[in-house]
Amino acid sequence: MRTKDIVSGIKCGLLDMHSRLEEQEIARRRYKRHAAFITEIRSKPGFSLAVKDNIAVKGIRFTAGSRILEGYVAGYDATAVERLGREFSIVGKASLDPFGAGSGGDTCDFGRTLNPHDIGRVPGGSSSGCAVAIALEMCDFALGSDTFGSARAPAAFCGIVGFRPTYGLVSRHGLIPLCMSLDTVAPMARDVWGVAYLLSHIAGPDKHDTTTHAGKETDYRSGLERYELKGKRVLVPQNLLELCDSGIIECAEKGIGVMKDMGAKISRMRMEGLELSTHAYYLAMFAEFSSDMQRYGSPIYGFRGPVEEARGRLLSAELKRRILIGTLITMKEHRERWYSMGLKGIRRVRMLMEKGMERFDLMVMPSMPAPPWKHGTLNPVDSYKTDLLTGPASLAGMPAVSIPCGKAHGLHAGLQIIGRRFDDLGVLGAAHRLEGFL
Amino acid sequence: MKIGLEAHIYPGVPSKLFCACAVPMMCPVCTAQPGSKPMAVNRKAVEDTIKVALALKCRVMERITFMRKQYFYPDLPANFQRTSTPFGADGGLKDIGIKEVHLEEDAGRLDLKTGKVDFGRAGTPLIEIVTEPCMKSPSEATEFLKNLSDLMRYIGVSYPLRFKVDTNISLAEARVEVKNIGSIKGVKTAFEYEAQRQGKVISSGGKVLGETRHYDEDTGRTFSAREKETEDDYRKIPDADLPDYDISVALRSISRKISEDLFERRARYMKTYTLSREACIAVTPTPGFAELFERLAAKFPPAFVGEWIRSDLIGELSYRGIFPEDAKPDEGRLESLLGKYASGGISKLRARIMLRELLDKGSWKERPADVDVSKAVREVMERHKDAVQKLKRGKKVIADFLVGEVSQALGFQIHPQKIREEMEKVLEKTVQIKI
Repeated sequence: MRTKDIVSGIKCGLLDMHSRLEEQEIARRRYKRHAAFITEIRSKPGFSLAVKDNIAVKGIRFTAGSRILEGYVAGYDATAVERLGREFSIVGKASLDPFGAGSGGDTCDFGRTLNPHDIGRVPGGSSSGCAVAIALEMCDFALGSDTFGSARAPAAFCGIVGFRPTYGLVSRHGLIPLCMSLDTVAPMARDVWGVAYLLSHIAGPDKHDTTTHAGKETDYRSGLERYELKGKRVLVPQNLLELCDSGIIECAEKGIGVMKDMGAKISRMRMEGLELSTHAYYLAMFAEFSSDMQRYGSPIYGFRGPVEEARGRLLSAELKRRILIGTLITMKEHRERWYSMGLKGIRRVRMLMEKGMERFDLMVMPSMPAPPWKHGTLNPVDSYKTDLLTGPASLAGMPAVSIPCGKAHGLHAGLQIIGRRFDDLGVLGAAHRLEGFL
Repeated sequence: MKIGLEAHIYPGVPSKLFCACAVPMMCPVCTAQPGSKPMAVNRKAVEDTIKVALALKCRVMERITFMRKQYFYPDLPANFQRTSTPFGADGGLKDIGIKEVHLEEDAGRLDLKTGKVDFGRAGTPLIEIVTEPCMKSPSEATEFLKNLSDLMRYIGVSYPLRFKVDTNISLAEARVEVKNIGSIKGVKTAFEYEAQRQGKVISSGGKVLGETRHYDEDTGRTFSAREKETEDDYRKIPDADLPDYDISVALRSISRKISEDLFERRARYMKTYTLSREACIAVTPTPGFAELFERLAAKFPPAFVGEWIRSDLIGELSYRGIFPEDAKPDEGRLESLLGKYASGGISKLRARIMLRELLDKGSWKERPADVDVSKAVREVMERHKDAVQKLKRGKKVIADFLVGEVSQALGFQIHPQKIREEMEKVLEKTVQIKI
C-alpha cells in the first residue's frame, strides 16, 4: 500500500489504526532476526516511524550502535524528532554501523542487520535498520542520516526510498556526528510521497543548528504532483557510470530511458575529478570524526570505568581505525600533507559539481556501483570505495534521492537523482514522476 | 627574567558562549551531550571582544572562525575547546606588547583534591589576551594587570574584573607555565615563589625543567602538574558546526562609538588639570564619569573637583554599593552643592551630608539662609560654662570642641572658620583673649 493511502486512510478513519499497529507488531516479532531495531518502543496510535539510533529521542537509550554508549539515555529530543509532533509514533531505534561509520550496515554492536531480500548479504549502511524496517513493513517511515550515502545506500539495497536533503535544510541538532560538515538528517520511506511528507515536518531553520537555512518550500507534498520532467535538462556523468557493475548500468539506463520518454533532455558528460570525492571525504571525515569522538574518553556518557577500558574494549576496530587515522593526519607533522589535502579535494569536488550543475536541472546516476555484497567479504578500503557515487552530492551539499530501480542479478538496485542546492522539491518531484515506471 | 601572560577575562555577559544557559545552569550543549550542536555565538561576547581588541590597539580582523583546540582534560566535557581565531593582533597596553586577543569557551572546574568536576561554568565566554613575553619583574606584571583591570572597566567589559591568568616565567632557557591564578595578588605571590624556586635550582647547579605548574591560592605555592618536553600540539581544526563569523559590521559600529583612550585621558588630566595621580584614576572609571568630571571641572577649579570626587563622591557611592557605571547623580544639584562648597560657604562635613541626602533622597533639606551664628555661639557658651572657663584660662584646644558644638547645632551648614570668628567676637566682649 502506498504511504499516501495509509496516511490519508488513517486521517479519514478508513484504516483501523489498531489493527495496523498489531500487524506491525507481528512483523516486528517475525523479523527480529534481521536486527533492524536496537531498542523497541511501545507504539502509540499514529504513523509508525523508526529513528536511527544516532538521533536523540528523549528518555530512550541512545547508543549510536556502539557499546561505548550502551547505558546512555538521551536527555533531550533532536530537533527533527521534536518537530514530528504527536502524529508520529516512534516504534524503534534502528540499528546502524557504530556512529554511522560503515557502508555495509551490518556492523552494529548489538546484532548484525540483514538484508531483507537476501539475508546472506548486507543491507547497506549506515542507516541499515531504518531501511530494513521499512522494507519488512515494520514501520512506514524512518528518520535516518546521510553523510556520504548513509541513507541512499541502504535504500538502494533494500528497495525503498532514501533522501539526503540539502545540507542546512534539516536541523542536525541531536544527530551524533560522523563528519559534522556533511551530516544531514535523512527521511526514508516506502515511496517518494512518504519522504516528502516526512520532510515537510522536519525542514526549516533551527536556532540549535547554526548551519540551517530556510528552504523554499514548506509543504513538499503538493509540489510533487505538479512537477513535470518535460524539458528538464538532465546530466549523466558518464565516467562514473562506466565504473559500475554491468547489471547496475543496465538498471540505470532503463531509468534514464524513462526520463527521456517523459521529455527530459539527457546529456552525457565526463566529469573528471569526481572520482576524487571518496579520497577527499575520508580524509576530512577521519579528522572531524576523531575530534567528535574525543569526548567518549570521559565517563559522563553512561560508561563508568577506566578510560583505557572504555576506549580499548568498547570501540569497534573500524572506529579505532578512523580515530587513529584522524588524529594522525591532524598532527603538526602530517596535517599539511593529509588533512589540508582532504579539504582541498572537497573544495575541488564542490566546485566541479556546482559548475557542472550550472547548465542542468538534475544529475542522474546509480546510487551504488554494485549490488549488495555478502557479509564480511569486503575489506575496509574496498567498502570505502562503494561510496563513490553517493559522494559528490554529499560534498557539494546538494539534495539527492535514491529510488528503487529494478533488479541487477536478482538484487535491488537504486537510481540516484541529484539537484541543485535547495532544489529539494525538484529532486523529489522527478523521483515521484519516475517511481511508478521503474 | 622573562614573563609573559595569558589573561582570561570573563566579560560581564549573562549567558554562555554557545547556548542560552546562565552560570551555573547546564544543557546538552554546554555539557557536550552526544548529538548536541552549538547555538549561534553569543553576540554580546563577540562585541566585548571587539571592544577589548580595539582598546588594546590591535589590528582587528574582519572575519573569525571558531576552531576546536583538542586536548584531554577532565574538566573539558567534549575534550576539545572551541576557540576563535584572533579578533585582533599586534597591539599594546602602555609599553607591554599584546600578541593577540581572541574569544573562547571556559572549561568546567576540576577540584584537584577530590577529583570532582563542576560543569556549571563550562561554556562561559572568556576573552583571552596574550602578551609578548616582555615583562621583566613580578611588579611589572602586576602593574600590567592593574592597568588591564582599569581598562576593562573603562570600556565596560568587566567590572568587578573576574579573570584567570596563565603565565610563563623563565629565568633560564626552560619555559615554566603557571596556570589558573585568579587574582592580581595571586600573580605576585606565584611569581615571587617561582622566581625564588627557579633561582634556587639554578644556584645549586641544577637545571630548570620546562613544565606546567598549578598555583595553590591557599598556600601561595606552585606545584608541578606535568612535565613538558615538547610543545603542545592541539591539532586545531575548524568547527564546521559554526559558520565563519563576519564581524566587520559590528566592528564599524563599535569603532564609531569608541571614546578617548583611558591612558591618554589620564595623562591629559594630569597635564592640563594638574590632577594628582590618584585623582586621575578616581575620575576615570568610565567615560561617562570622566565626562561628568570634565563638565564640573569647567566650572570649578579642576584640582578641587578631582580631589572631591576622589575623597567624597566615590566613597559615598561605593558605601551605597553603586558602581560609577550606574551612578546617575542629579548634575544640577551636584553643581550647586560644589558651588557652595568651593566658595567656602559650607563646611566639608555639610557638603558631605548634602551629598548623602542627594544620593539617598534625590535632594537635600535646605537650611534657613539667615542663621544667627552669634546667637548659637552664645547659647553653646551658656551651656558649656566650664569649658569656656577652661578656654579663658588658656586651654586653647577646647575651642575646637566649642566650634564643633556650634557647628552641629547649626546643622553643619556654616563653615567652621566663620563660627570661630564669631566666637572670637563674643569672647573679646567678655574677656580680652585671643584664641
